[in-house]
Amino acid sequence: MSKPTDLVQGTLDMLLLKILAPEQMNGFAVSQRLKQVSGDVLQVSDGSLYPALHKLEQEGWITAEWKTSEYGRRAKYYSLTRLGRRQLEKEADNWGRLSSAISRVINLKEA
Amino acid sequence: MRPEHWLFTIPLRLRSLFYWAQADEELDDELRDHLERATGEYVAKGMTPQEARRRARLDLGGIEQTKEECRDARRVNWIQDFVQDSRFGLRMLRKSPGFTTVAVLTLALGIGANTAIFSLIDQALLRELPVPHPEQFVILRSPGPNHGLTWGDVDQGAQSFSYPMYKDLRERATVFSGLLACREATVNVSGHGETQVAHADLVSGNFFETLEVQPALGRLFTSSDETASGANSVAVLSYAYWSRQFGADPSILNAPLTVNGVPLTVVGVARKGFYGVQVGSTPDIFIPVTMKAQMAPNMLQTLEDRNDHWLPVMGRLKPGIALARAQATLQPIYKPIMELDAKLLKLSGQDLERFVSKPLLLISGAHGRLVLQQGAQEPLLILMSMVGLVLLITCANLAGLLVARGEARQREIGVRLAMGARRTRLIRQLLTESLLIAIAGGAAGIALAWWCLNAIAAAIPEGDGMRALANSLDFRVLWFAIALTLATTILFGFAPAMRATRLDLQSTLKDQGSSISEGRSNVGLRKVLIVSQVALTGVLLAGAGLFARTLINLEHANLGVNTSHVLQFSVRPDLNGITPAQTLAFADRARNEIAALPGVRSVSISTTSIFEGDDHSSNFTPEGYRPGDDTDAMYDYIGANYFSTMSIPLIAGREFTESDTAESPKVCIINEKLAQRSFAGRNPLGLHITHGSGTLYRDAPMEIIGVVANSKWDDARSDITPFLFMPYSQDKNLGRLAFYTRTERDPAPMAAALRSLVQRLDPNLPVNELRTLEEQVSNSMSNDRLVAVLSVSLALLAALLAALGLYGVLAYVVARRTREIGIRIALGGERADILRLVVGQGWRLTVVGGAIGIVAALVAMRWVASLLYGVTTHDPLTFVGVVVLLAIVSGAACYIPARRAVRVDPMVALRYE
Repeated sequence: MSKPTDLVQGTLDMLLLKILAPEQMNGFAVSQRLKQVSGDVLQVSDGSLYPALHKLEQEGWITAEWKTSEYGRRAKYYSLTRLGRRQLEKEADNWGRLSSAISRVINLKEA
Repeated sequence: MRPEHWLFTIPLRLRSLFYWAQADEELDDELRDHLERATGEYVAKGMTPQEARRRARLDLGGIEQTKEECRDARRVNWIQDFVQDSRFGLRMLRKSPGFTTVAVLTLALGIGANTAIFSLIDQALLRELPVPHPEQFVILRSPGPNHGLTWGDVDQGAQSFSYPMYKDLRERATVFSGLLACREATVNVSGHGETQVAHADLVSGNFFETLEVQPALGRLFTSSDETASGANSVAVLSYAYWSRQFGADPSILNAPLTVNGVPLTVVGVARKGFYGVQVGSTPDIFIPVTMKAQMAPNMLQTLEDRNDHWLPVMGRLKPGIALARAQATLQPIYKPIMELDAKLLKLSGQDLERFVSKPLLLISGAHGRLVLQQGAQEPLLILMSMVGLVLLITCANLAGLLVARGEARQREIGVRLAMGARRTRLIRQLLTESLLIAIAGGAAGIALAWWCLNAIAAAIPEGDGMRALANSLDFRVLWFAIALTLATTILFGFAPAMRATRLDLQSTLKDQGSSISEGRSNVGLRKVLIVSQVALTGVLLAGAGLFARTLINLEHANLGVNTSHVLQFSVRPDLNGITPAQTLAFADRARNEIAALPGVRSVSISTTSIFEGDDHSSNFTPEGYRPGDDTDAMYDYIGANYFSTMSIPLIAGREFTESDTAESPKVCIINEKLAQRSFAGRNPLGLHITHGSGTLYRDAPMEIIGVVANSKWDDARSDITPFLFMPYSQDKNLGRLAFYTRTERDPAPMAAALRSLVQRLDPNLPVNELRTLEEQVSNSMSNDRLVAVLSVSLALLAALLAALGLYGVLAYVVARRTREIGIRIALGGERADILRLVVGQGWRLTVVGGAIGIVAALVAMRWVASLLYGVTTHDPLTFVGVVVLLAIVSGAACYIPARRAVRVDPMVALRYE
């Protein structure tokens, strides 16, 4: 798996929060969804996914629950917390402002 | 982070901290679950289960790596890491007990020695007075000619003022919030049927107020305790004295205490930990200065005389006033006082000029008045440097050991790096191991320091100011020890840790030992360490050699006096209020009775004890004096047969006899030096010399009746000075007596007899300093002895460490090159060549290190020049000795590895892996 671009690395947190926003998911599902929605453009290796998830958990933005999986063993399911929701809003705002600023610069007409 | 967020995360972080073993399990489960699902996906896409599993694994990347990163992400803070590192480190250290023991012990020695010496230095030089705002304190000094009797304890008498002058300054100088005076004295304290000697401080009324000291009991002095001579019969005890002598009994308050026969009322006890203003002195009692006549009756200077300089003065500057400014404002106040004094002295011409232009200077008193025995500062600083060097050697040694250990663990470290551990993490872990060693070494070192300080205190003779310093370890010192521990950790742990983790993984994980060039850089580092160790050892050996020779020279110095078979003791009848006439009678009686004791060859009396650093000097104007001649001379009052008892040859004339009494003509005896200086070319016998100069103290002229050979007075180091002896029967202020008894055989058993004899003559008179003269002389060299013993011990320790280090490197080199040696021998190489190979390595290191060391020593020894006696700083004998010792050390270190190299069996070596 190729390394994600630097931009994605920085915003990985935000993406994961967004993906977990609608419902509770386990790690594998998160990675599938990310690939699916971004159309395989955002390639996040599973190796960097889990540390990111753990960090989010440590910060209190997502919380985890252990349930019995289809395979009969236990699996970890993540969901967004209230704090996480607020963090997501904040980061989405920042992202919006950043991306429109970049767009403005890129779209400058060459005189 | 916003506060609520932070609070919310605390339970999470705590959970991570305490349940991380459990968290590890969970991580395992989570990743396993992921793999299962991924595998399922791939199987659904049509792969075989094995394929699918493999793909899933590849996708995840390195599992251990991922786990490590997850753990990192969960990491609370460095505490968790530290705990983990410590656990691991302890396990590793326990696995190699030999290394750990050696490391901890050497570090304990280094840290312990440094802590002990620092404790002494801290108390002597660094610690400030334990009062509020010690930085406001200044000491007054006025260097220049004094006319009159001056007490010269330090600074050539510049810090001694007269009592009227002190009062003038106190009244007129506005820069001080308080100006205090304090002078030490020895007194007799009687109680419960016995009399003991105690140390007193004569202090001004505002002493405690200015210092802002609180009482532990009762009250302290105020200005109403300084009214008129003899009128203030009160006393304040020091806390230590009160605990020691009176068991901290509060009933001492307002009870009378008989001091020098005078009843003083104890009005209070000073707070714990207050020891006056003089470093190295621990006064027992504080007495108002107006009681001087009673408390220090033998002091020639009087309370009221403007020209008697005996009182040290210190002041507390008002807040915000700088020392320089304060000093400037004092000159216009001081000059008029001096002009007035000059008029009273009827000075004129050049004398007048020099007198009135004397400045009044201020020096910082934040550390109190330093009145330690001459030269106590230098030995301490030199000792500090020496133990510092030993510590550096210790660290170099430990660094070498750690480098070697790092090599041995290369495999382990290589595997861990390959598995994805970050280099900084590994370095941190190795440093933690070093820290553990350092902590163990530091703790042991502190215990060792405690023991050392007690041993040093026991070695310092009683009554020496240094002894008061020796015994305490306090928080400053502990902080110092801790800081030292951390510093040494970095010093000896960092480079090896960096080294050990900078690995070429490929060659490490393959079999070691095949490549000869491998690890060369490591050996290089160790060689540098060895060279520096040898150099430092060379410096220490040079210092030790010089100090040892100094001590030997001192012990064999020609004192001009035969010190064997002589017992000395002194008494102070003046402290009991006994008059000079009574003292004279006592002296004669005691002398006759002692002379009558069996085993006594002769006995004689002096008023000042020899070899105690106690001396008096004054001006003695000879017949034929020309203005500008030097008239300064030391003097002493002695009795009949003094010179024969002390075995000082009489060169001309006669000794004093019983017929030289108070009524007979005034006579004196001078030494050769005085004869040469003041009577060059003339026969001094029959000529006259007068005590005094200028317009003061024109006693009756004394006829010179004898000339004696030169002899030393203060200690073995002191130079021969002009000396004048007068008969004690003609001393108007006779109050102190020192008895010198020459015995037929061993003097020690006579001591008890002498003591009981004096007790019988006067039960209230304590017998002081009863010891042999040899002991006394030996005590006067205690500083030199301390320095010599310590420096030799440290140098030997350093040599041992250097030898161990050298051995380590050579053994390692031989072990690494065993194969090569085997090949050489198999190919027909001579064992002698092998020997030369190994020993040559050792020699080269030693020679380089030794050369650097000797050059460094030649430079460094300049700093200690003032401590030496009888040897120059580049004494060839010592330096040759250093070279020889280093050669021996090197030889000893090379021996075993060389033997091993020579004994290599090629068959075994070639199979060696």
